[in-house]
Amino acid sequence: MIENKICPICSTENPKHVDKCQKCGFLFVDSQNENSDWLNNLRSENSENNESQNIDSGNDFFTNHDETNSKLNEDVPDWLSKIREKKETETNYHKFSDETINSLTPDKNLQNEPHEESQQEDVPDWLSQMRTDPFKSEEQSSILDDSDLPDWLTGQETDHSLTSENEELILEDNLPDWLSNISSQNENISEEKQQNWDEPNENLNAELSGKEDPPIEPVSPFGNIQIEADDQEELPEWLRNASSDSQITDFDNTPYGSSDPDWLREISELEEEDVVEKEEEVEEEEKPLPFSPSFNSEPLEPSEFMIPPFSEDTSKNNEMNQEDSSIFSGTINNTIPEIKEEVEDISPFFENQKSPIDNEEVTPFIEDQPLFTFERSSDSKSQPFTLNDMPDWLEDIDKVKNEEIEDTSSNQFENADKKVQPGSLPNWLKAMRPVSAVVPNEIRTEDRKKIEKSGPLAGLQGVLSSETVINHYTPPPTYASKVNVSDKNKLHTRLLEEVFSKDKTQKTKTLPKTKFDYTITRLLIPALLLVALIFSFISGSNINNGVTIQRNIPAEQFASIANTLSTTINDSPHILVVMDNDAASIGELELVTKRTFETFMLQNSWLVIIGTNPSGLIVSDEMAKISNQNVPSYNQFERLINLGYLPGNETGIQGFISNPKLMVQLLRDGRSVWETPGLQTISTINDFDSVWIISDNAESTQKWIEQLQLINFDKPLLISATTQATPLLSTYLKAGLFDGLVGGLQGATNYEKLTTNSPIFFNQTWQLYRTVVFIFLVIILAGAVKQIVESILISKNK
Amino acid sequence: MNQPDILWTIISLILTLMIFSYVLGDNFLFRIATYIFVGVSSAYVAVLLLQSIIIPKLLMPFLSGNINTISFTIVPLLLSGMLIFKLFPKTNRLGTLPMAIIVGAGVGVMLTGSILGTLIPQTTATFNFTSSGWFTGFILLLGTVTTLLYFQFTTKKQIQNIEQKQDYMYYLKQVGGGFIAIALGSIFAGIILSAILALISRFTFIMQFFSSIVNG
Repeated sequence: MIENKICPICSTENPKHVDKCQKCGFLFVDSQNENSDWLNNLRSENSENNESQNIDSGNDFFTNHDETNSKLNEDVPDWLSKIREKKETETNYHKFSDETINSLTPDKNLQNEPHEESQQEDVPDWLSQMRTDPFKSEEQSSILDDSDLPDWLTGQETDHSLTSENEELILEDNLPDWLSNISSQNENISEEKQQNWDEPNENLNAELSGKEDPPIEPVSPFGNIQIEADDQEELPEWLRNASSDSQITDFDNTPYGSSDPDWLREISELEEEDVVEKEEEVEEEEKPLPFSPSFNSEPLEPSEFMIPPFSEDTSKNNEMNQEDSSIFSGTINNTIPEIKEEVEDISPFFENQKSPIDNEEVTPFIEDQPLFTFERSSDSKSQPFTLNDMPDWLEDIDKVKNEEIEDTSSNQFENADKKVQPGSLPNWLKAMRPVSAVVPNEIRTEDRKKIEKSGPLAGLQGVLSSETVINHYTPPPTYASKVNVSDKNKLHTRLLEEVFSKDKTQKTKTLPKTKFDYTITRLLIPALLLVALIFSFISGSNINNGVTIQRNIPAEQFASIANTLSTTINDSPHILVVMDNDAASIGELELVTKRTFETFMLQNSWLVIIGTNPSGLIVSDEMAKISNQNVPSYNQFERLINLGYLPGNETGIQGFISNPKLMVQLLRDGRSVWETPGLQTISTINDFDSVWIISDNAESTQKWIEQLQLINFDKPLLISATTQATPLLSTYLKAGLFDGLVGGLQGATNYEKLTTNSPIFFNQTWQLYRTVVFIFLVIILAGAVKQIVESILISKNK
Repeated sequence: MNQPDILWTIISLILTLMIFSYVLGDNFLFRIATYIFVGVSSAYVAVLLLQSIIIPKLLMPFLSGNINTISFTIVPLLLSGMLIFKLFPKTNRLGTLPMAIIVGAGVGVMLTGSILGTLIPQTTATFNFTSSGWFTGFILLLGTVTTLLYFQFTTKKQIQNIEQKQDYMYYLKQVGGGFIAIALGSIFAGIILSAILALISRFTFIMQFFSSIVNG
């Protein structure tokens, strides 16, 4: 049929005689001859011993099933043939990958050794004999006489032969047609189909070596037979070990011989009763016996018998079964319903047989940790077929079978849960277990029972307590903070202490004031001042008539400059009036500047006002207005030009002094400043005939003095200041930085006396001023006397 | 006195009396008067700046049509706009440039004026202390020197556990402290005298108002 072997991996054609692919090294498994021998043995066994056929009917069933499938290959639809091809390719690939992995890591076989040794130590003699010679045991199991079989097994067989009519057909000497065709069909099985038989071996090897990947897929039921028939010499050693394990587990399918121990017989008898009860229940319900997941779509995998039933995996098994059942169950149900029922009858038998091994020999598995995890890839490409490819009749069958499988599997697993006994795990499996599985439940439950007594989690149970952490908490180590101070540092420290020691010793002696004293003082001084002012204003008398106050504020230079400006220039002088005062000082500045304004107005001067203080600028017009009342000839609206506010402090002052036209361009009414009649001849600050600064702040006036000093301003600089600013400005006057100063009321009075023959304006104000000053002097002296007396009394008391 | 003057005179009288009520302590009338003063002053300053600076110096040049004027005004307008970013923390770095220009220019002008307009002339005047008489010159020189010595915060090394006698520098500093006290006292006296003059001015205003009412 096939002249050349085509590698499933690289699709390279290889000569028929080669065992491996010449390109990729894929190992071609030519088990056709071996399988034929094995099948021949099987046929001989079937013909010689019908009873053994009856027991092994599960395997035969699948064999026949596969043969039936191969026979029906010609009739199968395209979608099924595609599925088979795809599955075969995947199976070959898994086989090849497993072989290569195992060949690269031969030590993995060692992982199975403890498991095998542990089994060999405890197994009975009859089981060990079967392990040593699996083929012999297989033959023995098939050639077992009735005498060798235990009573419970013989009874079971007779029961089956009596109760089932289908079994009678199978037990006939002449095999049915479908079974007789097995030999011929086996010979015609294609190589691709034969390769599927190796799948259980591969999966089994993977399972025994602890590998999880690739996920276990539905294994062909012929795998068991394949393992038994494979030539052990051709297989590698690791595979032989694995196959021996499979033989051991496979032996579980066989009935126990006479060499069975007594305990095993007792258990089997007890379980036999359960089997009979289950069969009766099923018959009463008159329902078709559901397929066991182990025998229906899932192949009879030896390792499965070792798995304690657990409910979690039944769903996965059912999912797996859906795939396989879609392939096999349709043909099974339609072609050989007899075998189906037979297998169902035998399934509880196999279920019961595993209990004695689990008790002692086979390491039990933790229920929470299933050994075999069935994972299905969600990728649609890995699916053997899609739902669209599935015919309707097959979908219906799947639904019915799934329901049946769920019922039977749940019953079986529930019963098996009760029978599985705990055992010891192998070391390699213990090492894989999580810590939570090793820690006793009591310890864990004790921690969970703890109730938090304090903190924000108080009252909650099973929380991590912070109390233990606090008890074991140790404060951080403390380190000595010793600073290395040199002699030089000490010396500097001492000097610094000496500098500030004097200030420390001179504490201000403030006596606590009572509320009464504070109230009296607060009300007494204003009241006294008010009474003095009213008395002086009404009577016109001076309280301090007997005291002479020296009027030594120099106003002569200021008066001489102001009075001679018009005569010196022979024209109306241009006077720049700088308003550098707050509005609060308008009362004093009105007195100080009144006569000066009148002097300049009498000279018909161009008064150009500019302000560096916004609030002071607004009072400049009022001051000029008051002065203009005494000089009605002066045209204030023409001669008085208000340039407005000059921003920028010293920067603005410097800018205006450097270039006045640039800094001030428009008047408040929108006219151009320098096009007005009085300012057409002005281009620089030196074009003004004089600069007159009206200020109540010595520091701001100082800026004007400094900036004018920088440009060597050669015109008269006059200053009219308040009493507050006069002391500091006097030093600049004595240094020659400006030409004349009228300071305060005293300077204004002097200026009035120098400019007018009959000073009247300041008489009344001056009298009031003197009165208030006198009262203030009395108050200050009274306070000083009080302070001295108190200090003397305190010193005497000490 | 015309009618508007009478109205404003009455308002001024009321506000003056409200300020005088502070003699009785901090009260509602005093606070109202101060609030009015602060509010009116602030509003006046704002209007003054808008009318005399922003409109004529930043906006009107753009309406002049003169390219030189416009180009000259763009720079201060841009710098002024950047100052607005100083109000917001995230963008205050953009306002650093105009602030640096303002502060740098101001400090430069101030230092120059202080050195050339105050320090050097005052020092020169001090050396000519004999121009105003020996006694006055001596007092002036003594006061200047001792006042400067008062602000000396250095000291000599002292041997441990040996208390040295006060040197002459200590006494000179004390003299300088005396001059400083006199200067500060005179300044404080000038403040009081200015306040007295303001009081007299307001008192005279009130008395004149009542006298004008009485006299008709």
